[in-house]
Amino acid sequence: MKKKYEIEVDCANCAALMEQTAAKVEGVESCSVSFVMQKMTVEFAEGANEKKVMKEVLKQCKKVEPDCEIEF
Amino acid sequence: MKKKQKKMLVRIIVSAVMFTVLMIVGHIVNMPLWLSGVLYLVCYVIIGYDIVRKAALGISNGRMMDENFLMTVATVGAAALAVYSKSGDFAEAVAVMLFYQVGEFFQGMAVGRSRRSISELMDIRPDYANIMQDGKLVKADPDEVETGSIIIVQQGEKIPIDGVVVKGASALNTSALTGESAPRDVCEGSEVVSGCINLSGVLEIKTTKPFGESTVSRILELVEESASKRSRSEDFITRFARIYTPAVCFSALALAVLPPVIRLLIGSSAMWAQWIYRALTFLVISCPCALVISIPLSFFSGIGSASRQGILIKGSVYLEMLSKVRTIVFDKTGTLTKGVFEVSAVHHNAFEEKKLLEYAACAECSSSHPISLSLRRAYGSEIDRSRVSDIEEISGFGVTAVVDGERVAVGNKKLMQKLGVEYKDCHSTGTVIHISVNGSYSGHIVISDMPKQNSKQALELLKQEGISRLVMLTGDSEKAAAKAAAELGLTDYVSELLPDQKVSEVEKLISEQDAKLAFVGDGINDAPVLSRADLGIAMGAMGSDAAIEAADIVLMDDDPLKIPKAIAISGKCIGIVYQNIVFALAVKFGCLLLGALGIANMWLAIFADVGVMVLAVLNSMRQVCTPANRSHAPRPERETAA
Repeated sequence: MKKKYEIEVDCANCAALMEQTAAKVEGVESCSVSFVMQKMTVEFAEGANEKKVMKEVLKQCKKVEPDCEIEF
Repeated sequence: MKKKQKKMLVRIIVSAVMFTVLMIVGHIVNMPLWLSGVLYLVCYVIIGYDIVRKAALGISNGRMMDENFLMTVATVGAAALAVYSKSGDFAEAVAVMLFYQVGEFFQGMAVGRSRRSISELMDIRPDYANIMQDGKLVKADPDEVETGSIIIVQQGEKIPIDGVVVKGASALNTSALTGESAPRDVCEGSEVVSGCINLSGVLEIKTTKPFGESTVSRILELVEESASKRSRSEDFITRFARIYTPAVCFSALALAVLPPVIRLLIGSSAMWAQWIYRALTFLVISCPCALVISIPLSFFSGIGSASRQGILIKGSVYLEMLSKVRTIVFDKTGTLTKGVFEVSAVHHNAFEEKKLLEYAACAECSSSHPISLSLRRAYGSEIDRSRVSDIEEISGFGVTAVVDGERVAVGNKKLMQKLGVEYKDCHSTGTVIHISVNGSYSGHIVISDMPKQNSKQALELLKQEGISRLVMLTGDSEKAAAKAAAELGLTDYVSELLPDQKVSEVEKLISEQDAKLAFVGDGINDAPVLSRADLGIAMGAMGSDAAIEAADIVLMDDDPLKIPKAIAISGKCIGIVYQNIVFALAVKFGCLLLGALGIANMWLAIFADVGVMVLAVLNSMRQVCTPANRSHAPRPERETAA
């Protein structure tokens, strides 16, 4: 399953950090963040609970970039 | 302006006013150290609390070496020096934080603007689809329109979903997809793709795909995900930042400790305060923001301006690679040539030219083979099928049929041999179709593929762009290949190849050289070669999913001139990236040196950091604002669309 989320992030480097961080979260198969489009595309692993995984993604992303927002 | 930015602006103004008042009062009255300390601290907290918080969070999460950390250490250090030296000069610490935030603010604005203008370039997403509901026109979310529904596109509106026109005729502006400014005419039965703008009449369209699989969605998906295929320059910057920041921190530490210690050892006074101050300045200068921000932005604006021209690049890595290509391999049919066979000569003996063509067209009237199609096209008029009977198609040979009571055979020389008809070979290049009537030879028709109008010019431009080898691979005969190669000015060609031999031919070419090799094909039967080449370029991909999947760069229409254009865009983009890297690093290292020697102070350090950043961002934006992008047909206003 692949889903797209609107995000808010202020710098390109932070976007790259968010991408690396999100990709490491359990239940995330792969993740790409487009700073210019302000979008995060997440491919979930089989059987992952989307809400749960995204909550964790946001939590981890907040650690690397406290100002970021992900809408899900 | 976003809410966050407004809040920041208020913080900047409040603290700037407070800071100025404190400076003036401090000059008039002699405040006790603790009082000025507390007042400056309030000011510092207003302007810098989030930076300190982020720095603290960073440390607790094990990521301490970032710019927040640098700024916190520098300002806290400067304040500590003020206490230590009892000068009460807290102004510098507050000023550095204030300027840093002003810089960040401007940078946020600049980056935000750039980001928006790039995303506007690619804003082809339709907002709504008009559907009929209870006799009224209703605006629906394109995502919710089912396949097979009828949508209505009025003048000035974007076609939201791929489909077929069922009613109406109009001209479409395809420039958002192809970069082509000439409008395309459509009428009932024409297939239309989403993203085009309806210029004149009202169109009723029966959708053939859901929104998610329509051309527009696929393109947006590609572009949005292109960020994940990072170029080597971008990787370099990420790696660079990872090594650079700690390196700078340790150098600063060394700068603070080593010189005083050495001075102590050689017997002079240590001058701790001065060296620590220099170390702090060094820290402020060292923020790598300019590089980290401008490089991805440069690549993205390159990709953005390319997509405006109908050139989709799947990632910055391919944009970078394109500038390193020195060999381009072309597929012939459909890439350099039209891929549509046309009758180029008729050599007849027994009948008139027209009569011969008529026999051939009649015999071939039920076949869907490309050759039959071109024969019928050349004949021109409708064929009365009742004149033709006993049609027999012999695969790999041709067709025999009875036309107006005469036994006609149309096919290659193998057919003639099979029928025992003596035939004449032809000197022209192309596919030769022999015709016999009632068992006697009556002539042949030559069919050949014509080069595209722009192929020759495109190849010339490619040579000017520094592409040294232009190779053509084709399954066609040696004679046809040689003719096309000479006509178009290719440096090399290989003919009579089967599809799998094309792959091995490309592999051979790749192994022969160090520079990158690009393969250009029409994407339908070239998928294996497209993926084997360093860089696969697919043409004429509007609506073709296979091509979009297999290629790294996708040309929306089939104009070969887009290839030199893409190379020019990539060259310019890479040029800007290198300019930014060199410029930012040169200024940084210059300032670092000045800071270490004590010539530059913290104020200058901040200006250098912000200035380089803004210049680098402006430089990356040059690509978006080239005249080629501006000259495009203006988008219709929302008002006229409603």
